[in-house]
Amino acid sequence: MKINLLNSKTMKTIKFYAMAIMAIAMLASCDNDDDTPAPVEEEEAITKLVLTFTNQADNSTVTLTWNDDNEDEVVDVTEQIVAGTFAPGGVYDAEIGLFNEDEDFLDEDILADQAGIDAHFFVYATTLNFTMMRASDDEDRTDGNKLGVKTVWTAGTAGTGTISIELHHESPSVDDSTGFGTAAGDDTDIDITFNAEIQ
Amino acid sequence: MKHNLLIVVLCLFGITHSQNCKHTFIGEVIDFHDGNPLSGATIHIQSLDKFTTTGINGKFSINNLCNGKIVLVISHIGCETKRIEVDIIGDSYQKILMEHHTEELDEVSVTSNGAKKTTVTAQESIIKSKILLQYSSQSLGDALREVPGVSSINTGSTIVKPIINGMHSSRVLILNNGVRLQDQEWGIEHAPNIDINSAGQISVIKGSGALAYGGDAIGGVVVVNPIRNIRKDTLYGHTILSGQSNGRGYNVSSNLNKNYKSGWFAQAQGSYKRNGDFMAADYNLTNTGAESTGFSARFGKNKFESGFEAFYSYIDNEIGILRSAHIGSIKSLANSINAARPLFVEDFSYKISEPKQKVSHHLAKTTYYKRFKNFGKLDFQYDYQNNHRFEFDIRRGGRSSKAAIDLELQTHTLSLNAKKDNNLDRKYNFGLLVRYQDHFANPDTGVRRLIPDYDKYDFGGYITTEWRIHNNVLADAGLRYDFSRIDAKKFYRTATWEERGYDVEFPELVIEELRNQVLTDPTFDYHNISGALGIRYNINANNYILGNYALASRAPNPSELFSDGLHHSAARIEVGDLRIDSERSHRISTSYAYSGSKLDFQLETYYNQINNFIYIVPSPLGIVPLIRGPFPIWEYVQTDAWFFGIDVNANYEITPSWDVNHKSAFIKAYDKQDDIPLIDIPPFTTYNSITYTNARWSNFKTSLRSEWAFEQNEFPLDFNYTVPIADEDDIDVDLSPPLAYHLMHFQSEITLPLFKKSSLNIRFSVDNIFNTSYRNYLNRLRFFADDLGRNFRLQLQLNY
Repeated sequence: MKINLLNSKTMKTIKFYAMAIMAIAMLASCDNDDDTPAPVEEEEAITKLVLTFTNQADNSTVTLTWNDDNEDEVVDVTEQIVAGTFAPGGVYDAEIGLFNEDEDFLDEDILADQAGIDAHFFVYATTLNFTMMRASDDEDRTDGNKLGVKTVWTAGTAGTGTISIELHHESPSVDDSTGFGTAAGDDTDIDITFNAEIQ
Repeated sequence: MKHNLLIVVLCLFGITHSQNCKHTFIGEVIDFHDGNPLSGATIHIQSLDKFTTTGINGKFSINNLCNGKIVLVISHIGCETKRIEVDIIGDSYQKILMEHHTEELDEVSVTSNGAKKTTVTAQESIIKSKILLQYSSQSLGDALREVPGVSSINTGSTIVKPIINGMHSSRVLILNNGVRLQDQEWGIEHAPNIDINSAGQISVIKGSGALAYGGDAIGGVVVVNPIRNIRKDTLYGHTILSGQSNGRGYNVSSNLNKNYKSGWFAQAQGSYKRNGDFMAADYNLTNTGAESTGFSARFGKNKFESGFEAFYSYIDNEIGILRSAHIGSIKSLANSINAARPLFVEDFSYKISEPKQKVSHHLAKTTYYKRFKNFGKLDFQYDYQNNHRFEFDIRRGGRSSKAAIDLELQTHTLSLNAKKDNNLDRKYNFGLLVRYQDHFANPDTGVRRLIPDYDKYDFGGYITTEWRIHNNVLADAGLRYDFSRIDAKKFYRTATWEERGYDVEFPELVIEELRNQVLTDPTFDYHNISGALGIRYNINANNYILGNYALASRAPNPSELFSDGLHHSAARIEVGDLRIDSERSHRISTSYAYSGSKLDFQLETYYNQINNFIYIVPSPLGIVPLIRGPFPIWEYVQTDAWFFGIDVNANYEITPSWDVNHKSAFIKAYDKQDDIPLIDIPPFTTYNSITYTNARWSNFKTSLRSEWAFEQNEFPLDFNYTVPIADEDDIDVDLSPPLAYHLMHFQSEITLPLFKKSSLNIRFSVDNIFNTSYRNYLNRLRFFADDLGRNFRLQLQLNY
C-alpha cells in the first residue's frame, strides 16, 4: 500500500495535506462510479409446479398448477389453478413437474444424478377418498424408497377436499410404505395444498 | 504459645514494646524481562504508610519491622505498579520482579499505576492481559463477559457477539488498535473479527461517553489495544498451547515483541485454533466445528516528540452452523422447539459442512503523531479494512460448494486528532474523520441479494474537554457531529415495491424496470448530533462517584433499511424499511466505587431512553404461504424504548489467601409505546467465585465459580404466533425464554520458573463441572439444541 511510504521519519506536515487531497480525490472519484449491479437470477427457485393426473381408462386429465406469476415465492390463491375433477373409481397415473422459469427444475436439480434423487422425497396427503401407491417406473432412492415423481392414485367415493404436496430436502429418514409417504423434519422445498373434487 | 510466653515475660520486665520489632526486610527489584536491577523504584509500605526508593543496585531495606504481614506497593516508570504482601518472620529478603508496562509516552508523567482508562467520567472497565490470556482458546465475546453488565448473544458457541447493557451489533462500537471495526456488524450472526490473542488490554466503556470514537455507540464501546511497548532494549513474548475435551479443540498462539531504547518497536503475533463438533450434555452438536487463523504485526517508533506506527492484522474464520438449525419452514421451528433431541445427531467429526460461514478480515493502518510545544499532540491516521463474508447453505445440484451469500465490505478512513494538554487542568481534544465504504454483493451466488450494493460516506467532527475543577473534582464534556450518506442500488420485486407503498412514496428512486423487478437507487443522508457531560468526584482515597449524561444518535444500518428476504435459521422473512430514520439515546448513569485494603466494590446504574429505537418485530402481515412452506414476516419498526439497569462488582479478601468475588447484572427494557418488554434482553445473571492463592506453591491459584442465569420472565408474548395449517391442527410457535440454569466452573494454575528469564504457566480448568443440560435465552440456537456440556481444558503458557 502506497500509504506506507509516508511512514518515513521525516514526515512533514505538508504530507498531511497531500493525504487530505488524496482522500478528497478518492471520495470524488467514488462519487462518479455508478456501476449498475446485475440482477440475480434465482437458481434454485421453483416458480411453477404442475401435478398431472391421467385417467388410465379414458386419458382424461386433472391438473393442479401453481405458477408464481409475480415471482414473489408466495403461493397466492389466484396463482393456483385446478383443472378437471376426479371420477369415482377412476385410476390415475400422476406425474409431477417443477420449473424455474423456463428451466426444468425437476430434471436439472433433482433427477440429474443419484445424489439429487437421494436428497429428495415427495410426500403427498389428501382429505379426499384416495388410495395411492408409487409407480413402478418411479425413481428409486439408494435407501430403497421411491422418490414420488410418478404415482398411481385410485379415487373412491365422491367428495370435496384437498390434495397437498411436500418436497423434502435432506430428510434424515423417509418411508414410502403408505404410498403417500412420510419424512422426518420439515425442511421442505415445496409445501402446497390444492382444493380438488371427486364427482 | 512460645510467643505468648514471650509477651508475658516482656511485660514482666516492664518493657513497653509488646513484641520484638527490630527486624529488617531487604528487597531487590528486578526487571522481569532482562533481569537487570531497577533503580529509583518507589516503595510504599502501605501498612506503615512509609516510603523508600531502591538504590542503584535495585535494593531497598526497611528496618524496625515487627513479625507479621506488611503490604508493599512498588512502582517504577515503565512498569506496572505491583502490590505484594510479605510475611516478616525475622530478618528477611525477597526478590521482586517487575513486569514491563509501557504507558503511552505522553501519559507517563500523569499516571503510572496499572491499567490506563480512556475516559474520565464514563463507566469504564478494563480487562488486563493476564485475564485475556485465559481466553486464548475462546473469543472476544467470551472474554468481555468478565465485565458486569456485559453478556453476549451467541449463535452456537463460536459466534459470540458482545451485548453491553442489553445492546449489541450496530449499537456497540469495537475499536481494534484505534481502528473502528467495520465488519458488517449489523448482522446478529456476524461475530466481531478480532483475534483475542492479539489483544493486550481491553477496555469496555458503557454508553457513548467516548465521543472521539463515534457518536453512535448507544450501547457502548469496546477498545481493544495491542500489547504495549516500552522504550528499552528488550525482547520478550509468550507462547500458548491449549487443548480441550469438548469439541476436541486445540489452539496455539505465540507473540514476540522487540523494543529498543531509541523508541523503535516491532511486534508479531499469530494464532491458530481448531475444534470439531461440540457436545451438549447428552448428544453431539453436529456440524459445530470451527477453524480460525489470526496474524498481526506492527512496528514503529515511539518518541516523546513524535512517532509512527504501521499495523496489519488478518483473521480468517470458518465456522460450522449446527446442522439441525438449518430449517425449511416455521413447522420445523415449532417441531425443533418441542423436540427432546435435535434432528441431526451424528458421530464426532472435525469436518465443517454446510451450513457454514467463512469470513476473512484484513485491517491495515498507519499512524503518525507529533507533539508541539505549548500545545499538545496531533495525530493522523489512515486505515483500510476489507471484510469478506461467505455463507454456504445446503443447496442442490452440486451448488453447496458455491456461497449463497458473498458480501465484501471495504472501508477507508482518514482521521485527525488533536490533544491540547499544555494546561493539565483544562485539556481539549478535537478531531475530524472522513470515511468511505464500498459494499459489494456478488451476484454469482444465484441467490437474491440479502444486502444490496452500496457506497457510504461519513464525515465526523468532535470536540471534548476535560477540566479539573477542584483537586477532587474532574469534569468532562463533549460534542460531536456526524454526517452520513448511504447510496445503494437495490433490486426490489415489483410486488414487494408496491406492497410496501414505495411506488407511491419513492417513485423517483426507480431507475430501471425489469420484468417483475425494479432497480432502485435509494440515497439517504443522516445528520446526527451527539454529546456527553460528566463529573467525577473523588470523595477520598477510597471512594469516588461518577455522574454522566450522554446523547447518542445512530443512523440506520443497511440491514434495517434494506433487508428483504428469508432468514433461514430464524425461520422468518425479514423486511427493512426505507423510511427508517436515526435513533437517539439519552443515557444517564451514576457509579459509586469503593476501594479499600480488603474490599473493592463498584456499583453502576443507568437509565437509557431511546427515541425512534429501531428493532424487528412480527409484522401485522402475519404468516405468508411461500412455496417452500409458511413463514412469518418480521419487519423493522421504530418505537420509543427505555433501558434501566444495575451492574455490581465486589471483591473481598477474607484472608491473604482467600478471596471471594461477586458480579451481577440486572436489566429491564421496555417498548414505551406498546408497553411491552423488549425481546432478547439478558436475564438477571450472577457470578460468584471463591479463589485460593498461595505464592509459595509456585504461585498456585485455584477457584470455583458459580454462574447462575435466571429465567427471563419479561418477554413480549405477542411475538409468539400460531400458524394455521391446511387440514391439520394449528401449530403454536412458542419463542418464550428457556428456564433458569446454574453452572459450576473450576480453574487452577501454577507458574513455574524455567530459566533465568522465562516461566511456564500451567492452567487446568473444567467448565460446566456437573455436565448440566441447559439452554441460554441469548443463544440463537437454543430452539434447536442444548448448550455445551462439560469441558476440560489444559493450557500451557510459556513466557520468555
